[in-house]
Amino acid sequence: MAVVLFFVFGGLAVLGALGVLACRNPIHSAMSLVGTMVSLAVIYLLHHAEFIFAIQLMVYAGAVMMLVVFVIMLLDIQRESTPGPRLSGGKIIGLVWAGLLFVLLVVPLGARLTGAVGPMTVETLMEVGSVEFLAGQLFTTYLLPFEAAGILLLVGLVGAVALAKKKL
Amino acid sequence: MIPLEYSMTLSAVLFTLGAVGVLLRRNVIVLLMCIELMLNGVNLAFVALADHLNSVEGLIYVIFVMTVAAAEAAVGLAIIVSLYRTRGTVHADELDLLKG
Repeated sequence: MAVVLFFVFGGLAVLGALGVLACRNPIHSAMSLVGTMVSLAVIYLLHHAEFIFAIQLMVYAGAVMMLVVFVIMLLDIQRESTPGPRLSGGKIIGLVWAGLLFVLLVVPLGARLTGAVGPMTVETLMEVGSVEFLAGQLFTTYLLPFEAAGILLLVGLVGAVALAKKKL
Repeated sequence: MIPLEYSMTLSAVLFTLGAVGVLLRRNVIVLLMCIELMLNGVNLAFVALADHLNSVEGLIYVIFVMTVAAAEAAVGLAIIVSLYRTRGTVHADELDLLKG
């Protein structure tokens, strides 16, 4: 059952990604990307990551994409989506590089996976809950990176306001 | 239980499609969305490995990747808005101020 769902939503995610590349109108690209993100959220759920599922929907599909759509509408770039030359030399080189990258990413999949196995089994998750387990780690072992992420967001916020302001 | 290879292959496909978009598309906003696509591919790899190894580290990394992606989207879109104000375009080929 899980594998069937994985194939359905994995296929939807790939279709959405292709839509991002193929659509001439940036709004259509953004909507395809939302489709990809929602499909990926379901796949996270299949991987027992309930908290990641929730923040994928709220932060990515909700907040980030809303920002992107908002900017697209603000800029009114409809008229710029004119089709250029379909396949130039640079594009072919780009496709070749991307193909090489894909080979590079897929080849190591045959290798045996080695790594420390952690305590987060499905049974533990059933007992403690995904959010509680994750939060416990985040506020103890990973407290410093967590604070650094907060500072990063603050700097991003100030930077975005400073950049978007007409006159400083 | 989903086999690890399936998720990692899907992750590789999404990452490559994002890279193709970055290499081929010329609209800066679409470039930004393709970078988000690549980050999503990486996130899927982290989640799949975390599930496979029963480890919480992968999920922690996903949270940080999402933080970086949100900050990147905010700053990147602000840069695009200010570029559009000064140059009147979001076409990457016409934005050549720093070109030698």
